[in-house]
Amino acid sequence: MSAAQSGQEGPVSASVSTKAEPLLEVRDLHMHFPVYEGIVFQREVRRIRAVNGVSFDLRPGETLGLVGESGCGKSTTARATLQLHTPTSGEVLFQGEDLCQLRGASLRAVRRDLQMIFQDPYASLDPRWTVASIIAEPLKNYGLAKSGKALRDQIAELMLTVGLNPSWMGRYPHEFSGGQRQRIGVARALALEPKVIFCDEPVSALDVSVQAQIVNLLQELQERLGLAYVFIAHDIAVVRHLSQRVAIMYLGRIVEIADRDAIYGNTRHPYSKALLGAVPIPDPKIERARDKVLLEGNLPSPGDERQGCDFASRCPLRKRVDQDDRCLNERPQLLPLASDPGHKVACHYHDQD
Amino acid sequence: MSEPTTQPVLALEDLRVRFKTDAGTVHAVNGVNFHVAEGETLGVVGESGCGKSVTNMTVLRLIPTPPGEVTSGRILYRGQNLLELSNKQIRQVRGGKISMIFQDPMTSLNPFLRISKQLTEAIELHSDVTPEQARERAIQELERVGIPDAARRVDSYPHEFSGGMRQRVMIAMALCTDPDLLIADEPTTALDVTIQAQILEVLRRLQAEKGMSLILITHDLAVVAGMCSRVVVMYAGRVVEEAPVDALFEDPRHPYTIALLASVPRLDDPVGRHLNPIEGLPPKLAEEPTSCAFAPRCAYAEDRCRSELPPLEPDQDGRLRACFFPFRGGERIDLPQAGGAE
Repeated sequence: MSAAQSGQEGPVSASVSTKAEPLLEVRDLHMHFPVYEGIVFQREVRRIRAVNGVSFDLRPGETLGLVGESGCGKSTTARATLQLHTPTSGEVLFQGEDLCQLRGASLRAVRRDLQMIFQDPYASLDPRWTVASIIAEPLKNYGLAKSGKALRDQIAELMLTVGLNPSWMGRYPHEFSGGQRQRIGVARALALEPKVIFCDEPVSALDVSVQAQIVNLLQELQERLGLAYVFIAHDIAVVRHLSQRVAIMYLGRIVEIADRDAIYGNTRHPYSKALLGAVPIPDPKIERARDKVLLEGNLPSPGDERQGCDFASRCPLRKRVDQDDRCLNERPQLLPLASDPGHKVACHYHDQD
Repeated sequence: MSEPTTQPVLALEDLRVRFKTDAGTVHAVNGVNFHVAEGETLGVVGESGCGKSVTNMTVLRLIPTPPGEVTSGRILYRGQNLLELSNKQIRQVRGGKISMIFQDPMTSLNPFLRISKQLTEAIELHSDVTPEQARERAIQELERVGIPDAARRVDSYPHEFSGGMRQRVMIAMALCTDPDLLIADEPTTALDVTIQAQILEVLRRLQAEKGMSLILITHDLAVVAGMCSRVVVMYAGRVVEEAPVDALFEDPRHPYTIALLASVPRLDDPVGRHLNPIEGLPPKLAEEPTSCAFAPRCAYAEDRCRSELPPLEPDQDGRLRACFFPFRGGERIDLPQAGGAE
């Protein structure tokens, strides 16, 4: 059914994409939300720094996984990249153009290549629209819709692509199951033949058996159409399954980014270690034998500005190695490892275990 | 854990629940049998709509009637049928001897009342204490679930707590009456993995301290693997397999259990493993199933599966499964037809 079975393995495309020029470059992206107080004289009292200096590249045909706990800014990063929020500062370079500088018609033209799939297939489809009109909307928006039968053929083809029966074209979203609705969302995203799709928790609301259907669909579409994905999820096993590269976010920043095997096999940042270590594995023997390193406390508020490392207050490594309070006073930069330049870590003590 | 030597804490016998709505009848629970032994953790696994929550809410009679209706069966708590108790009697059990915690701690707590008020209410209802003693007890319970500075935080409102802390409050509330059975319905589904690990640790520790039994309802097989000693797998309102946790993961017998395990990506998977989704959808349950409900999605279904309902029966080695053609050690075994059934 998929390319994995027909013998075309994913790693081929992965090795090609490492050499290719990035399709999308995000540079030092900031997305701050000001908090105002006062009724007559409003003044800004605080800023929620949801995204606080995020940089990454996306190469053609690759999947970049974005993981982190709720509130770490992964969804806001996606939205700010797509200019659904206007970023506070930073650059988003797509095919040589900085999206942050574009407005109106020129931004619309670029957006055709950048689509998004949302978490909740119940909320992201208009209940009063038929499937056909939902899928045709982007086509009409961009003046690409044909008319009459030709349009229906266009829609039918998209439905077939995502594994929906085209005879259901006239049905409404409530007549579909969660997995089918997510397929409608995928068809809508594919309508404009984009180059990049941002998937924001696309399988989190689905049952495990259905989740696998959508994961496989996304993989097949990528191999067939050469799509690049930014795949956002809190389910770290799903991200590992789908991504060639993975970025781990904490409090609006990327703390570690590397190829999939490096991030799971040679985890360097203490937060990444804690996060990966907290994922339970469906095997009772492994679970019993496991040394459970529990992370203390909760996420600090993204409204407070810190000098040092955001993770310092919860970091188990700092307690052992940071004698001179460097972690509290100096913010670690996201720097490449000497041994593997593609693997970047933001930790002063990443070489210590 | 092995079979109970004494009377189980809770035993469900042929429980059936249906909901009559304007949109038609839904047969949510269709003959469920299982028991929980003293001090044991039982996992109840299944996908949305399999009846796992309805089954367990029925235990505490939390199903709204109408539209809900228990059409048959018994729920025996230490030998006493909970379905026969008066409303007043069940209120003594509910939140007293049997407590429940839910998925979403924000909707389960009253946002207008301080935590202290909500906790002491439960304590005062179920034991004969002065308000001061109840407050003292509430603070103790909060400390026990790991809420720092409990003496001060006891007077906070729910919104002042994070999701993980709220779930701790829920656990404290559920345990403040010293129940001997706790039913936890997806207690960590709304939480991040790091917080999930903390909450599961709290549950594990308190269960050991108090020696209570625990029913853990979840869709997450990994949580079951780390927490439970025995597991019940449900599909379409029926138990399709029941086994000790190691046996279930090592040698699943029912094709649904096998399919469920194969569809989940694991962090320790070999890279590039192809996921095997279960094609199709769970049944709508407009009628009580008269044949195997999983047959339409089962890769191994045969004619018999489509015409007869497989009962939950022990295999030769005592493993319970509801399947005519179950697996054993990864191989399918064809059972001899029971005396040319009908």
